[in-house]
Amino acid sequence: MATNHTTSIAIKHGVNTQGFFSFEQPENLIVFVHGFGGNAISTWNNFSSSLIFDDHFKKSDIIFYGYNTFKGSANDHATQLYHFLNLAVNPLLSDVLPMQQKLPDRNYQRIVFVAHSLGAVLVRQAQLLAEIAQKDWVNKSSLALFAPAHNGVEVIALAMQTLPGLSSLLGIFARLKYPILNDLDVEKGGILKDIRDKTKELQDKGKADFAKARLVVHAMGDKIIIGNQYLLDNPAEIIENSTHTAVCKPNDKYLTPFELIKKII
Amino acid sequence: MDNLNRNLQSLTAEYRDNGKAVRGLKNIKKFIDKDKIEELKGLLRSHEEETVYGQELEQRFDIDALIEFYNLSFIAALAGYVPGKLNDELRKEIVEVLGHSSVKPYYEKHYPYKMTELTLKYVSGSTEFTQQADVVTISVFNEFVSLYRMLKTDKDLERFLGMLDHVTYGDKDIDDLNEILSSFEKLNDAFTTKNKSGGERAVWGFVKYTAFLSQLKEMLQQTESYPLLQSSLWLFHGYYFERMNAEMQTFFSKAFSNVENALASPQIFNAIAQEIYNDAIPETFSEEELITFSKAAVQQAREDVTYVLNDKWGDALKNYFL
Repeated sequence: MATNHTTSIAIKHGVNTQGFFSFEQPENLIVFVHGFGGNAISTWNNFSSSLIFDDHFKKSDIIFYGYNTFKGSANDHATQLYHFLNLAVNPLLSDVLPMQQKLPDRNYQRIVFVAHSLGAVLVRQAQLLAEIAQKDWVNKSSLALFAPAHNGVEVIALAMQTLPGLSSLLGIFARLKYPILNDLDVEKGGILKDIRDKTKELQDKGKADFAKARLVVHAMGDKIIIGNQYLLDNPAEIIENSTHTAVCKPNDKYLTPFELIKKII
Repeated sequence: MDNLNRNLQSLTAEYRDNGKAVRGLKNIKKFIDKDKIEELKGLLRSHEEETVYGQELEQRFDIDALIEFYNLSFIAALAGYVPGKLNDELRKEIVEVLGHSSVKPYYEKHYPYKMTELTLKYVSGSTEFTQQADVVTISVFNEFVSLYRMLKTDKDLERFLGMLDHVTYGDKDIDDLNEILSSFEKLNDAFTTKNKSGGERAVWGFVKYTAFLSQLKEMLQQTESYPLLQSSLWLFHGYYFERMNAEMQTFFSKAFSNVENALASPQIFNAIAQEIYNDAIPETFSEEELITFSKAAVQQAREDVTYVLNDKWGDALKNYFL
């Protein structure tokens, strides 16, 4: 088996953000964004290796974006993500892709955001910021969302179940001081309502195709998210025998997340 | 250029020709080329002989980064990500640096680090590994690199690992950390404060490090069918796992007991519920569930640490080079 991408390249934006860049002239940029308590790469389990081994993704640059969910609000992180994306679409110019790798210039035809849970809120808001700023890249972008939190979540359950190891104890303390979790409480309105209203307004005018998620995936019986249909998104794929955190993690027995992404790219 | 050599070139560009490692290489080459054997030996002395600080410390960090790149290249070969026998140019460089009489005492005697000895043995002989890359080996390699980066850049982890290695920050040391872990009020403050003090930063570092150990445990399990790769993942962190094994076992055992005691009172969870929901505590909220959950989380972390700190994980690679 041969790979066709660079080694994991450290990217100095967000937290532990890293990229695997095609050795060829890429057509696609795929950006993965994790959820609450997640990690740039481990949230996605075998995704990185599955992508770089498959010839289907030979001409795709792949970035795993990370951020600190214990600090700042959802809007803070969405705004940072937006600024990062403005750089990432020209990676050589912005030093997201170091010159030392000696790779050709990039001109992406498509940008695909793959997001889990809270990550879905961040990418939707980043798209809207790009729409307001009339950034060209937004119209090339599309969404693939795993267990998206865009309708709100059950906060304590999210905090307890998504944090690795002993840090799951933080879930017990989580609601007290981590503003990002309050952002996901649908009863408080806030960013979730703003995103939904703005997206609906654009879609009512026949705009914002980029905000209609091409792929939505839910774990059957996921009690952490509110899994209602979201505006004009494609209806969700429902995965049996999975969970909120496992639904986006391909492994040797569960290839569905990878196969679903392959279908839309 | 074939795929494996292209991967090696990419790995080298990222981890050697960048940041600290490239400075480390330039500096060490300067010493070697000018035959400054005693000066280099002095730079890489034991801190017990004479304290190391300031510019010297920075230079040593640069050399550490270079050594870690060599060890990482070895792991990449065991994962089948780069050629099973590294190219002649890189092998020659590694032998020149790690085999140098002024460098060897640094990782053999002053700060024993077995992985580096094995890397030197690997490049010195004619060993060629034949592991083919597959989804498991490459996934593990990518995640390993990702965790390694986190350990190197996270300030909370740096503080905790420093304390574990007997460093005092201001007037705070490992005993202060244990004191925080034994008190629910202090633990609560540490988890929820916006401006972390020295001790509170170490608490976060402790929690993150146990999460790292849990993730490393998963990687050790995933690589069960690849014993040499599995062993190398463990030995790479040998500075702590081997050199400080007994101290780590003692510290973690005490720390987990302290956390268990701190969370033992049912009133704690009732207080949390009051703080979260005021008087409108929903029917679905269960203190019992939180108590059970916290006990299980500590128990799981305890098991993960015990699993990872077992020094048998280093055996396969050590025995290979016996």
